[in-house]
Amino acid sequence: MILNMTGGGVGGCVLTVTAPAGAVVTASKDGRTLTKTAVSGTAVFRGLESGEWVLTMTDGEQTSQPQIVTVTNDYDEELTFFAATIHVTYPAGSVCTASDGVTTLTAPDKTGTWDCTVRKPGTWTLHCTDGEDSYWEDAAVSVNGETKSAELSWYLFHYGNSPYTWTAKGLWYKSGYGEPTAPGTAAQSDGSVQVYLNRPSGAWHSGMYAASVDVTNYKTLKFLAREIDVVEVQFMVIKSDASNMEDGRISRVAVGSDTAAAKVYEVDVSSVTGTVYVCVWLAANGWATDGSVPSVVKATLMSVEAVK
Amino acid sequence: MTVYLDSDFKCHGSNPDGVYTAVETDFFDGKCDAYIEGYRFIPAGENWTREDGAVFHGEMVTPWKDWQELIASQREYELSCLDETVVQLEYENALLRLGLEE
Repeated sequence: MILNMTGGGVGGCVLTVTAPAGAVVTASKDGRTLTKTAVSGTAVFRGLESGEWVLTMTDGEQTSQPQIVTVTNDYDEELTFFAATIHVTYPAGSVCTASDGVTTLTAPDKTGTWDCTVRKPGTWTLHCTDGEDSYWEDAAVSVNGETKSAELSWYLFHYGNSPYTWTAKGLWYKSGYGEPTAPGTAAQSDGSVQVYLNRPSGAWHSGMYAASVDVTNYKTLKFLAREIDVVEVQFMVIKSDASNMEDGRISRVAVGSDTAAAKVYEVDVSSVTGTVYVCVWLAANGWATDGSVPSVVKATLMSVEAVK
Repeated sequence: MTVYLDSDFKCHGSNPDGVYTAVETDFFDGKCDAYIEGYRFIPAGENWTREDGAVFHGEMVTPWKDWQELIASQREYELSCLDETVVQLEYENALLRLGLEE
C-alpha cells in the first residue's frame, strides 16, 4: 500500500493509496468509513484527521487483508491482495525483522513470537539480534493466504544455514598417530550435512567438520544429528590451534548406542571462553575388519544451537 | 587413566578418603592434576543438573573452572617437565664426559 499523506492541519490529511486499477478502497476510523475507487491505480482521500485508519480494498472477487496505518506524516504504500503469514519464533529479548530487500517489517515486541504478515510474494529474510549475536534465515512465500513457520535462534548451523563457515579438516587423533584426513561431506535434501570417513585398511584416520566460533557468550551447545554410524563420532569443542584432538579437546559429549534417529547431544561450555572449533569429530581405523562393523564412519549434522 | 569423581561429578586425581567414584578414561592422558581437577566428568547413564536447571546427560566431559586457567596450569606443568628433562640430560652428559656411568 502506498500512502501519501499531507497536511494534518485545518483541512485534514490527504491520503493517496496505490492499488490495482478499478479496485474499491475503503478507509475507516472510529466508525467513519470512506470509499474511493482506484480509477487509474490510485485512490485519494482528503480531509482525514490524524490517528489510525484501517484500509481494505476489493475487486468484487477478493478482499484484501485489513491494513492499519498511523497518520503522522506523508508516506506511500502499495495495497495488494496478497497476504501471507510467517509465524516466527526467535530468542526472547531480541529484535526481529523481516525484509524482502525493499520493505522491512519489525516485530511489535520482543516476546519471542511474531505472526508476521507480508504483503508481497517472494523471499523474506528473517533476522534477529540482541546486540551481541545475530542470526537470519530466509522464508519464501508465493501463495496468497499461505502460512509458513520460521524458527530463529543462535544457531551456529541450521540445515545448511550458518553465520559461520564450516569446513572439513584433517586432525590427528594423537600427535603423529594415524593420518589426519578431512572427512567427506554430502549435502542432504533438507539442508543437513552428512559427514563421513571411509574405513581404511590400516592406520587411524581422523578429522572433523568444524566452524571457528567465539563461545564466550554461550553456556550450552546443542548438536542435533541423526544416522550416526558408528560410535567413533564425538561432538566437541577443540582448541583453535590444536595439532591433534587428544591435546586440543576442551569439552565433548559422546554418542550413545541409539544413533539412527535424530537426537540432541548437549555439552556445557559455560566455563569455556574465546574462539574455538565447534565440531563433529570422526575417527576411522582399519582394525575392526571382522565384517560386523560398518565400512563408513558417518553422522548427519542437522543443527548446532548455542544457548546463552 | 583413573580419575575419581565426587558427588558433583568433579574430577580428582586421588581418592584419599575412599568416597569418590573411580572411572577409567583416556580424556586426561598427559594432563596434570591441576588441569584434571578443573573438570567435570558425567559418566554414561548419569545426569548432571547445572545451577540454572539445564540437565546434561553422560558421557560428557567439560571444565567447570575457567578453561583458560586450566590450560595455563597445563602449560606450566609441561614446561616443568621439560626443565626436569633438561636437568637430567645435563647430568647424564656430565657423567659421560667424566667417563662415568650412573
